[in-house]
Formats: sequence, C-alpha cells, structure tokens
Amino acid sequence: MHSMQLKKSALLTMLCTFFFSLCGGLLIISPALAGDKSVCPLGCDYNSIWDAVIQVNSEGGGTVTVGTPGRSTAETYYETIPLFEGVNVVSEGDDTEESYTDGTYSTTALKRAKLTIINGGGGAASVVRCPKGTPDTSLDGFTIDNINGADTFLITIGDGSPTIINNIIRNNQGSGHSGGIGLQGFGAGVPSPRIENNLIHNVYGPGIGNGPNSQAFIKSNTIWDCYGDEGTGIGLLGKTFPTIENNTIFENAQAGIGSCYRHPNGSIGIEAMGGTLTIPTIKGNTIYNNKAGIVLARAEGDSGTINVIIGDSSAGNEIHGTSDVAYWASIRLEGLTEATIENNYIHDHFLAGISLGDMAMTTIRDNEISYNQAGIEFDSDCLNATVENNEIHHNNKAGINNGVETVGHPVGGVDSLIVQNNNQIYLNGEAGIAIKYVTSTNTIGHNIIRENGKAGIQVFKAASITVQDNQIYKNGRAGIRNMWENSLTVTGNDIYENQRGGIEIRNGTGTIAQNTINQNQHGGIGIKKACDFEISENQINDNLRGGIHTGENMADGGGFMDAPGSAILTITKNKVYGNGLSSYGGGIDVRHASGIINNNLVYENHKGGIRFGDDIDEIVNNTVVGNGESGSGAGIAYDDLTGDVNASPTGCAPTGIEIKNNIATDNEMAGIFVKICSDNPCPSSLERDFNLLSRNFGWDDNPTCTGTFPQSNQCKFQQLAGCSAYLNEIIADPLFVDSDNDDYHLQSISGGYSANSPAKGAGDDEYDMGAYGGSDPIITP
Amino acid sequence: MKRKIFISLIISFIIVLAYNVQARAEIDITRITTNSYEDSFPCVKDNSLVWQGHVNGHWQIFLYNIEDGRTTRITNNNYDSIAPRTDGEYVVWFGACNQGGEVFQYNIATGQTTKITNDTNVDSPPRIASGRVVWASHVVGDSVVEPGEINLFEIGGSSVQLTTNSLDDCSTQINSQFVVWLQIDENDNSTLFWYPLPDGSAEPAPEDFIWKDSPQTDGDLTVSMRNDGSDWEIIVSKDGENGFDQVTDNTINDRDPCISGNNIAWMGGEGKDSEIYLATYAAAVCYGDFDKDGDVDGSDLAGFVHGNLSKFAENFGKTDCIQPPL
Repeated sequence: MHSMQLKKSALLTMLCTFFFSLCGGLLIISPALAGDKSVCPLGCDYNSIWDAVIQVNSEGGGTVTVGTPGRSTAETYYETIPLFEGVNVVSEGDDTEESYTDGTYSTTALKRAKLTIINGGGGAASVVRCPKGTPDTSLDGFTIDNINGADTFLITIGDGSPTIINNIIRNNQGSGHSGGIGLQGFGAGVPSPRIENNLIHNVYGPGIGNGPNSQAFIKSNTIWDCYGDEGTGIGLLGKTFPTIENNTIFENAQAGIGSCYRHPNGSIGIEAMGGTLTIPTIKGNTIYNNKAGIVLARAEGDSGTINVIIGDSSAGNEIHGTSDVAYWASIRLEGLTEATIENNYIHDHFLAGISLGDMAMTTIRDNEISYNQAGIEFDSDCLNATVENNEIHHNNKAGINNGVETVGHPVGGVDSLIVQNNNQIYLNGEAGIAIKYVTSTNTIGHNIIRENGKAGIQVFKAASITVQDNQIYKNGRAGIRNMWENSLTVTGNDIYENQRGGIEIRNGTGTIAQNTINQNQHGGIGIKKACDFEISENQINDNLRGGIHTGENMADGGGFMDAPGSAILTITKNKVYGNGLSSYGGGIDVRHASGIINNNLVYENHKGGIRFGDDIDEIVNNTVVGNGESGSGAGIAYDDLTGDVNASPTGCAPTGIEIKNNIATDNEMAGIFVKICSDNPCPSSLERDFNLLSRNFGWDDNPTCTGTFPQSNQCKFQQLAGCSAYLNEIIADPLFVDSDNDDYHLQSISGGYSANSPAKGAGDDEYDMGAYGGSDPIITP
Repeated sequence: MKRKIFISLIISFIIVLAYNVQARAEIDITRITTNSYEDSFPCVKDNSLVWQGHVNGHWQIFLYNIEDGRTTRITNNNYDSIAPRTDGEYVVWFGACNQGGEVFQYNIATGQTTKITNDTNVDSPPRIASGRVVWASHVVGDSVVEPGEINLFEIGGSSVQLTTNSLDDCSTQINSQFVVWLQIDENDNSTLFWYPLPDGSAEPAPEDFIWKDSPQTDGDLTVSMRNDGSDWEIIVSKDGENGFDQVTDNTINDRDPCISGNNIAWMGGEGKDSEIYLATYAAAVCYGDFDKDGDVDGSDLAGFVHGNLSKFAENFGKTDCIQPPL
C-alpha cells in the first residue's frame, strides 16, 4: 500500500471511529436506565413525583419523567420534592415553546413546563429542595408554584451542582426573603448549580438569592416582579461568587443584580471576610426598570479584598430605566477594592449612570452612559478612578461628577480621577466634567467635551487639575471654569465656540500653555479674581471679547472681584489676534493684573493691543500690530480703570515700568501710551526705550515720521502719545517679512533686527526687537 | 467529481463569507476648498454646507451646494463674518460690521442677504432652525454692556424679544420645538429656560429636560472626533451599535464635524492650511450580498463565482482571516 493511501486510510479510520463513537454514545445513552420511572395521574409508574424520586434514588439513580404523554392541559402535582444525587427530574415532552404571559409581559416558555406544575399548596416549605446534588442531577421543565412561608425559597439548594433548567418559578407570597431560588451553603456546603433558561417571577425576595458560598452559574434566565425589601432580581449576600451572564432582569423592587442596599434592617451586603472575594464578570445581561441596575455594596464591618468586573470586551450589560421607574443609580458600587466597568450601555436612570462610593480603585471604560441624572458620580472617599473611552451624553446633570452635590449623592468624591483616551462627553445638562472635591487630583486628557449645558470643565474645588490635549467646544458656559485655589494646568487643548469665555479663572495657580482658544463668545482667557498663572504659547484669536483679559465690560474694574494686582500673570509668547469681534475687547487687557507681558505677538485685535494697570512689572519684546478700530485702541497703553472697557485710556502709572524692545506699529491710536504720576511726565529712558514704532495713530503713509515741521513732530509724538522717542527707539517701518499674511518676523534689513545695529543689538539685550527677539522668543510656524 | 467540486464551492463560499460577512460603510470624501487661507467651522444641513474662510484679512461666509457642487461666496466685506449656521434654506451668521456686531441672514433660494439686527447691542452669534433665528442681545448702557436678552426672529416675519429682566440670558439653542437658553443670576448661578414654539412663554425648563439636538447628530448617526495618538480623526457611530466607522485616517487634525443625512462635513488641517471636507456616508453594508437583495444566499454565490473564478480558487481552502476588499 502506498504511504499516502495508508495515511488516508488511517485518517478515514479515525474519522469513522470518531463518528461511530458519537453514534454509539447516543445509542448507549439513549435507552432508559433500569431506574427510570414515569409519573402521571394515571397509567404511569407513579402518580407522585416524590415517590418516584425516592424509588429512583434507592435504585442508584436515573430519570423521573413527569407528565402524561401527549397531554394538552396542565397537570398539577401538589407536593414538595427533593433532588438527589443522580436523579434527574424531567417533564415529559419535547422542547416545543409557546407563549407565556404574566400580566402585561409576554415571553415564551417550554410547553411541557407550562403543562407540568408542582404546586406547594401555599405551604411554608420549599417546593424543591436540593441538599446535595451533582452535575447529572437536574430539574428540567416544570412550573414551580405557590408557597407562602417566612424566608423560604421555592427552590432551595444548599450544596452540590444540580442543573435547574427550563422551569417557570413563581408565586412565593411569603415574607422576609421568600424568593425563587435560594442558594446558601451551610457549613462546608458550596451550592454551585447551573441555573439556566428559567422564568422567575412574582416572589417576595430575590428571584435568585445567592447566599454565602454560592458559586452558581446563572445564565439566560428571565427574572421579574420580585418584590419586598429584598426583592432583587439576582441577590448577592455574604461571600458569594456567582457567575451571572445573559439574564434578562426587570421590574424588580430592588436592584436587578445586587446586594441589599440601604436595607431597612441595616447595611448588609457582600463580604470578603478578611480574605478575597472576586465575583466573576457580570456580563451579557439586560437589566431594566428595576429600582437600581446593579448594586454591589460591602457589608458593614467587613474587611478584605472585593473585586468586581461588570462587563468586559466580549460583552457588557444593558442597564436602563424609564422616566418613572428606576429610582437609583444604574450601577452603584460601594466599599469595594477594585472594580472594572466595561462595555455596558447604561441609560435612563433617575440617579447616576454609575455611582461610586468608598471605592479603592475603579476603571470605567468603553461604556455608553446616557439620559441618567449624571453620567458618572463619585462620593464618599473614593481613592482612584480611571475613566476612558466612554460615551457620556445627555445626562441631566454633569457628565462626570467628582463631588458636586446632587439628589441622592452622598458627600465626597474621588481623590485621583483620570479621564482620558477619547471619552466623548457631550450634551449633558450641566458641566461636561464637574469637580467639587477639595483633596482631589484630576487629570483630563484626550477627550471630546462639547455642547454641555454649562461649562465644559467646571472646577468648584480641587487640589489639582491637569487638562491636556482635549477638544472643548460649544459648551453653554466657559470651556473651562476654575473657581478654587487649586493647581490648574491647561495645555494643548482646542477650546472654541463656547458660549461664554474659553477659559474663565476665578482662583488658583498654574499654567495655561499651548492651547488654541478661538471664537468663544466672551474672551479667550478671562481672569475674574486673584490667581497666579503663567499664560504662554497659546494661540488666542477671534474671540468675541478680549483675548486675555481681567474683569468684565464695566467701568471701575467691574467684573474683577479682588484687589487690583492680585491676579499675578506671566504672559509670554502668546499669539493673540483678531479678538474683540463684538467691539468689546482687545488683545491683552489686564488692567487688574500684576506680572509681566513679554514676547507676545498681538495683532489685529479690535481694541487695544496691550492694556495694563498699576501692577504690571514689565512689557518687553512684544510685537503689537494693527490693533484698534474706529478711533479706539492703542498698541501698548496704561489705564487706571476709571473707564469702561472701551473707554480711552486715562490716568497715570504710579511708577515707571520697563517697556522695552517692543514693536508697535499700525495701531489705531498711539503705539505706546504711558505717563507717570503725578504730573504725567513721560517715562524715563531707563523705563521706556529700545522700542520700534511706526504708522500708529493714522500715520500710515509716513512710517518714519519724516517731512516738514510740525507734521513730522506730530507724527513722532503721536507714536508715543506725546512723548519723544529716546535714543534707542526707532521710528521706522519694521519691515516685517510678510505682514499681509501675518508673518511678523523681521527682515534682516529691519531696524529692529539685531545684526543691523553695528554698535550693539537692536534691543537693549542685543537681541531682535519684538516677539521674535529677546532671549526667549515666541515660536510660530 | 463535479458534484464534489460543487459541494466544495459551496463550503468554500460559506467559509469565505463567514470571515467576510461584516459591516463596512462606504465613505466618499470630497475636499471642498483648496486655497491658501484658513477655512473653518463648517455647518451642513440638507444640501447646504456653509463655513467661514479668512480671505484678505477678514472672515467671509461661504456656501457649497452639495447637489450641484457649486460654491458661493456669500459675504465680501471689510469686516469679519463668523459662525455660520444653516437650516438648509437660510444661512445666518454674526457680522462684526459695527459696535456690538449684527446678525445676518441669507436666503439660499434667492441669494438675498438681510441684516436681521441693526443696533449698537452686542449680539451673540445666531442659531437657526426651521426658518427661526435666535440670539442673545446685550444692550450697551453707560459704560456697561447690560445682561443679555433672548431674541427670536421668524424669517419673513418679525423679531420678538423673549426675555425682559435684569439677569443675563445667553447661550441660546433652537430646534423646531423650543428655544432654550441659560439665565445667569447675580450669584453666577445658571438656570435653563425654554420657550415652546411657536408662541409659548419663557419659563424655566422642566427639571428633567435635556437638550438633545446637535449639529453632530442626525437621526441615529453621530459624528465626532477621536485622537489616534498623533492627531484627531473624524468618526461616525450609529445609535445602539458598538464601535464606529472611521471617516478620516491621515496625519492632519480633523476637527469640528457636523452631519446632515448622510453628509458629513469637517475642517482638516491647521491655520492657512485648513480646508473644508465633505463625506457622503453610506451605512454599513453586508459584504457577500453581491446582488444587494439584503441577504447572502445562492444567488450571491452564483454572482460571486461568475467572473471571479480565479479569485475564488485563490481563496478556496484558506483558513486565515481574509479581509474584505476595500
């Protein structure tokens, strides 16, 4: 025989062997065992299930088949039965399904289950008891019905792993926890049944109650109408480890899945008992219109590690309510060690979509959370949480709430909150992210935060906030509002079209850098109260009001609520242009601030380029071009705050400050307008020098102020608002590289270009004048 | 033998389909602008796409007719016109033509521009829905820009002021049913107000009211952005379905998307390099449904084999996942 043929033959033999093994297996398994018994009212081995089960058990095991073959009306057996090891109890018939209706709810059930009823007769005992079963023990296809006792389940499993399948389990009118299936291991008992494809309803207590030691596998059941204080769909109590997958759980009086929460008799819940409790991933379930969706809370006084996973990348849960049902949070976790909530669809709950209290570590990812009170809420001393790649939208309050008071929200928040990796936070009724937890450290990066009813990010209280590389736009108030004395770092964000300012600062210290802030309906960065910020390397353009401003649009400093000078600002290397589209606001208008304004490129703002007050320390190396309109707007101007935002500058600076190396050209009014108190002298050359001015105050056709007296003198004076240029100040065309296209670098032949000055550099520091000069120049494309 | 081949073909077809029957949207992208100035803030409704372009030192408003592919420059002014919005019939925007700016309207059918406001008030950029325009208007008093009031203008009709109070009414939105806005009190607390259209009364919105409309959502489709680690890309997702379809996948920032029907617009690029893009999006199709009758069956097999025998032979028997053709 050829070797290839041999291989084919061997393969064929193996396949045949496998095939006939299967067939043989069926043939061997199919015939009734000697211990099998039938049960029906007439003509069967027994007319009592109890008797048949006892007999089969005494014969070493087998199957008890219940029901008259071919029956079309239900047969009811008024008894209670035990399940023994090796004894399968099965209703007679095939697996034909038909409709099953309870009130307004209709589903399907096995026809044989509907036609085979074991009725507890309203007694106080369980209909089915399984003190100890094995995997080949099953209860398959019955209606388990009607008891009325205290703390008694229709089916009680204390140990072993029977299969409870295809049953209808209903009507327990008892008290306490008188639910559908009770799983509690006493002593060494570990109930680990497979509970699958059952309908469980109308019971007083949990549909399936997992007590201590339960390791049940609970899959594809439908559970509804569990009522009473312990009326959860699937209850968890004590140290319990059930696997819960693909169930449909709805309209239960308490949580769909969960521990008793805020039970009238005190705090009871799940327990680690000093060890570790890891609940298998809860996934694939549809949970709706319960009082809460999933509630897992640690029992009072318990210690140890409790880990929970709700959904994973393969399957999540859908958890929802309707407007008049579902009073609590969709998912409420409390006092647990670690939780991961992944890939769930959570919507329409009266309280939060996800509510977390006293959690040590929580990861929330890939969920859609919508139409709840808030999207995600933290309270009660949570420690760490990471929120990533979720879609959080249309919640009535904030999308993510770290500590803001809401209905049903205990005091507290999460210490370390990380919101990252493409969370889509939009159209929530209040802020996209609201933070009011004074000890919290918050990091918000790479998210979309848009169209929320109030601010994009609202900080009432926090220890620190880092906002990095987000898209923050079209929110109802400012893109970012900071109200607290925290550390705030805002870098790399695009902040635009918000319906108030881009960033509103009312407190805090920190950095605002490398952001693009444009076309917001108020200013780009608004400073309203005392603070200490470095504002650098931002592009701030086309905001309807000022680019960077303190105060509001009113006279006498209105809108700035602290003492002048209490806003300490380091404003450097920003590109500020086109602001003040509403005609209210210029480029940098910081009359209430102290600090420095260096190396900024400020052009074509609708009012003044740079306006400062009593407390600014220096204005150096700025390029200020083409600001102002309609007779208003100087290049660099002092103002004493007595006028409104559009009033002409007034007053005198109490002391001279360093105003050097600036280029101020083409501004509507003077290039530099500063006088010193009390007699309004011009600043000394130690204070103001090395500036380049040209074409300000309408002298567009005479950039060097040449010509005959008095026009030439008038031109020169108007460049400096009545002051003369000092020795190192230049009145000449700055010779920008391409001002028509907003390129304000200097040509090498410019007077402000350092190499062009043989004796020394153009500026007092021998660098170029303007924003691109100095030791730390602005960098623009 | 022929029968064996036929059976093999069927098995192979089923195997191939098993790997390939998956959702794949059809997305065709058109670059609408090609110029040396900045284009930004697109808004699309029905067949009308509007945006602002920074031409010769000022923002101007542009309109692109998706149906005929024609671009119309709506404004040509020496002042800035920004924040265009359209309801498909009209375009509205904010024009910085004087102190406080004004609200403008353009009739797409007639090509006529109308100035809706003409005052010294500070007007906010307008919103439009179903021929109704809303904006906040701040009167300028002595040294003070007064708190805002909400104005509603029905195109073809007249303007109505919806609020009269000392608080700041601002942040307006409108759809076919409501005007909503924020009212901010002296303590900086804000309350959501609404005005049921066409002629309701201004009052606080119910506690459970949630504003649902967005230019980024139409029907069951939502467009958004996603950071791929280096820049922002445009994505589209469908309600009730996990995941999303990627509209862009490039090395520039794609931002500020909007959607109407199956038209998705956005801006791509930065500064003067930014341009307006438009994509037509066809919902996911079932690969394998070659005859497009909504299922995958023998007629698809017949169609697939016909003229594709070489491809079929190539794929036959493969066990690795085979990607569907792009």
